[in-house]
Amino acid sequence: MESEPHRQEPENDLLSLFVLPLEIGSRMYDAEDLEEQGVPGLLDGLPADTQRVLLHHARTLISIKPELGYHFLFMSKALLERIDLSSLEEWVSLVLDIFDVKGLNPAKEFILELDRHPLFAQYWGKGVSFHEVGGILGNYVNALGHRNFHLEPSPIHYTDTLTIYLPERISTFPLKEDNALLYKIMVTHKSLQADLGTYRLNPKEIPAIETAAGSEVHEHPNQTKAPPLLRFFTLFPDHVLAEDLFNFMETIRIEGWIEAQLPGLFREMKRLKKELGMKRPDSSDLPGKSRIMENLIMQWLGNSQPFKETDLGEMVRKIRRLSGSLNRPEATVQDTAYAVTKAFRTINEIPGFYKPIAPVSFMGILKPEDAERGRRKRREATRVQFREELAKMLEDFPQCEQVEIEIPGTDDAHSSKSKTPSQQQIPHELLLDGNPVPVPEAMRKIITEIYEDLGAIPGAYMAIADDMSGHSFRSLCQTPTGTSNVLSEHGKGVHVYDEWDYRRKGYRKRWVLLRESDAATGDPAFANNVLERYRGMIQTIKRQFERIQTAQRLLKKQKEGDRVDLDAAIEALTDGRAGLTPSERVFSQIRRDRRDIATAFLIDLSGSTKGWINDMERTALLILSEALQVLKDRFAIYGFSGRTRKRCELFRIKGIEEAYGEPVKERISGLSPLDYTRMGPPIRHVTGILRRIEARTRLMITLSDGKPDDYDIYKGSYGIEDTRQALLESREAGIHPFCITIDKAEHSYLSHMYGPANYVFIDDIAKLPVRIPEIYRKLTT
Amino acid sequence: MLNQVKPIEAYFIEDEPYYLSSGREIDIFTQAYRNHLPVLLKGPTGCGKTRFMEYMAWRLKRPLLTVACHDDLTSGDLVGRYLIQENETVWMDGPLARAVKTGGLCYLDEIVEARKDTTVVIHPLTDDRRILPMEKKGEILRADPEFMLILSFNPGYQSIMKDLKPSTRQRFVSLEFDYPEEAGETAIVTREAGVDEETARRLVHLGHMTRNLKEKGLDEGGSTRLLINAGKLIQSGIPPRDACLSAIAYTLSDDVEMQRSMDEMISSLF
Repeated sequence: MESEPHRQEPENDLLSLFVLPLEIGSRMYDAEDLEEQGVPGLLDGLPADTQRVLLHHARTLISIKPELGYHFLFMSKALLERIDLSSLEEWVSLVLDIFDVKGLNPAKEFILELDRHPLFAQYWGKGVSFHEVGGILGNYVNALGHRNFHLEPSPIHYTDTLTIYLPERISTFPLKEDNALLYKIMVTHKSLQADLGTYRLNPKEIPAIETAAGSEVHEHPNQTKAPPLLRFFTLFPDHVLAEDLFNFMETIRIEGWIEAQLPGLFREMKRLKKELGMKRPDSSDLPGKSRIMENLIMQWLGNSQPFKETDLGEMVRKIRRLSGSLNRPEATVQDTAYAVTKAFRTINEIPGFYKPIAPVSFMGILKPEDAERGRRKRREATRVQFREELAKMLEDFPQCEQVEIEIPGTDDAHSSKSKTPSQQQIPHELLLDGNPVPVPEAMRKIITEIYEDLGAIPGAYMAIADDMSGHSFRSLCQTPTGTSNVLSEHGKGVHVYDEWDYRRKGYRKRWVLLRESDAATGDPAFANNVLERYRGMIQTIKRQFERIQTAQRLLKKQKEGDRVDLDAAIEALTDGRAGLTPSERVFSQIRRDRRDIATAFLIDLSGSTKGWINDMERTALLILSEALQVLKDRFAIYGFSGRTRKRCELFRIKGIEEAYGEPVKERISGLSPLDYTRMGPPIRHVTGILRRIEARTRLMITLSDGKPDDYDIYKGSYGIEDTRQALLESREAGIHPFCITIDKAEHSYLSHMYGPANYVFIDDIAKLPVRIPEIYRKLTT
Repeated sequence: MLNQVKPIEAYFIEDEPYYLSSGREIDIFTQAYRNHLPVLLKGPTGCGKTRFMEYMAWRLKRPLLTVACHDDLTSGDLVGRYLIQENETVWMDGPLARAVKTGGLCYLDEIVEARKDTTVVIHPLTDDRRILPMEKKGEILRADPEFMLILSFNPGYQSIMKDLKPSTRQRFVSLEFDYPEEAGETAIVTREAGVDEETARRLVHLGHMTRNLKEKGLDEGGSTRLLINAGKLIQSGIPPRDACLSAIAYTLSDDVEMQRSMDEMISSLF
């Protein structure tokens, strides 16, 4: 065991720092103990430079008290998420001060408590954490462009074009605002990497770049399957240098866009760049290539210090001219690639190796493979959306077996330069059998995205859409085997429903079996916990609801009332004079509105709600139920789940006339995810229940986490269309259906299913408990 | 005092109102007018529905009688009532009756706000009968050939209490309105607020950003009207950031986090 060959080099061997056995607390540790605790790997994954600095400080601490160094090594990664490498020295001297003055235990506490320690806040409290700004920046980045991003904390700052990964904490600057600004610049920069196509280098350009780059550049034959950007980097003998140049030059291109579109941010960014420039480490002992790179960065940050050597100065000027041309709105990633190629040749004239320079924090790193995966995911999602949209359009052409779809102007979209989407001609019309049909807004967004990604709409997309529209639909029906999954038509609480088949534009008679039963009870501790934890929120929501309850209305023209309605009285008087029978309704009354509302909540219990969603669904239901006590509105809660047409389950959590109390709380606590989402049958059943209720307003609120989906054919258009039909039936019965969807993105099918303004989607599940009562309040006032 | 009713001439619009067309709405409206069809204007608040009406009234050279609907609006307010003047009763026409008689355009703004029974008096005017029964006078008014009824309605409200009944809805030719395209909206903000084009462009950019958040934290994005309001404040010397915060961010949301998100957008733009 002890002679494993992959052990780190001696200077990095953390074990060798300590004199063994090591005494910690009252225990002695030998090498094997430390290995078991994972000490040798504590710094793995950090850049070599960072490791070196950490080791240096660890040695200092160990030389004074080994135990401090031991704890420091364990906390070092977490520590670096909270303070800068450059502040580490100050931090270490603070540890030693505490040790000197107060002894070992307080010093140890200071290390272990990190930013929870009061002294830490005193020294580094100006930092900003991801959690403080994540929500604000989430809205900000979604407002910035037509794409949606997720923000997540991560030790590495980059984007895969779906998610932007940001540091847990930024404390680079003494001012809190500046640290928050750095977060904002990071988010903007990454979202623009995705929007302006940093990762969308056209692979067809690679051979041309190869030629332009000259003899020293050639591509490995086995690279052709890799993402284009990765292929591009590996063209160069030193791909780290190429990558650094590319990231720098792309940042200049992105900055050009910011300057034109977000002048306020540009101004602030300029100021912050200068500050970042002052924090750069000394570069005088770097090799020549690195010094050029560092000088480029410094000049760009606005802290220029020209070279003494004229030849180096000339080189930097040459590269700056190259990168300057990228600061135009029409510049693309291909332009950057060519500029990088030229800049690389220039720098490569200097002998020696390139040692990577200190990164500029907001530029982050490039991850072409992750971006490629992100792009695939997005592409798949848009492809599906496109098919659905197109299929919807095609449904208006039911008479033809074959529909010819043409997109005007697709041919010229294949131009070699990928333009930014605003410059591209997104067609306003599609040709269906030669007839122009306007492209709906939802479709235009999708097409924009496909253009951005692929430059054109592949023919295959349209062929499949044709298939989906039902002209030549293949059956996907597979019934699971075994009888336990099937309900008996004559079983207790079993109801039989029709189901809408959009392909035949008719109902399949007696097609679905649905069973209504009481929901199982769960541990009341969950409910009590929630009610305790959210007490403040429940109070607030109750107060909001009270305000609805006490809303008063002045009713005019009443037969009786507290005071005379002057307008009505005058009218009656004049009517009398004019020889008409004067109205006796001449009083006004202040009356509290009687709310006559009955609501059924339908909760999706499909398997996909497992975990967090289910927890928040239960939490939201409890909070809502509590709050509804104020309004005295009648409400029912049902959960649903399905597994084929022979087994749809509807669980009664609270009947409409049932009082809210312990049994209901227990049933809510006991809700757990089950099978699939067959939405039509439960909607039909609950429509029936509501239909029998006497109320002026009857409302059905569905809470689900996405598309209808069941084990058999109940997917895609079939499921959507049946759900839509069930909702139409419900509307016909005088019920207002409304849907709350938990999803990461809005989908066009929602509007199709529920009708515009009849649904809302919530992308942040944590907001569910606040949003549901709010939605209910808005709907009913 | 009471008999000083504004003459119908005062309802003509003399000067061409500024209106930027963004589709075929002018043609469709004109043909609906020629064919005696009532029109329903649908669209989010502040996108130019009322301005469009002023423009069409000017273009068709008809008087425009606008009624802003509210929940106390009764049919008497629309049709008319008896008033006492110097010891005698005088019938006074409501705006709807005046429009019916004089061949004007009667525009009922935000119709869903009105009491539900109000919509019933308009029904006989919206089919081929084109009549207005005046119950109190015992008369039936036959509409002038030039008369036209227009309703406006914002389908974006997610309140079930504010929907238009199908029986009303299905009598109308509907025109969908939305915020103008970027270039058009910039031109409108420039002109209406009197700001320079660059400021207008930034305001419009901000408008688009807030609209990207519709249903993602905002009920509605910033309307063209809000952008113009912000522009006017800027033009009057309020610093852009304060102007946008007051005219747009605080108007659109009470949620502190959302306001701060909008502040970030504003500070990025200005």
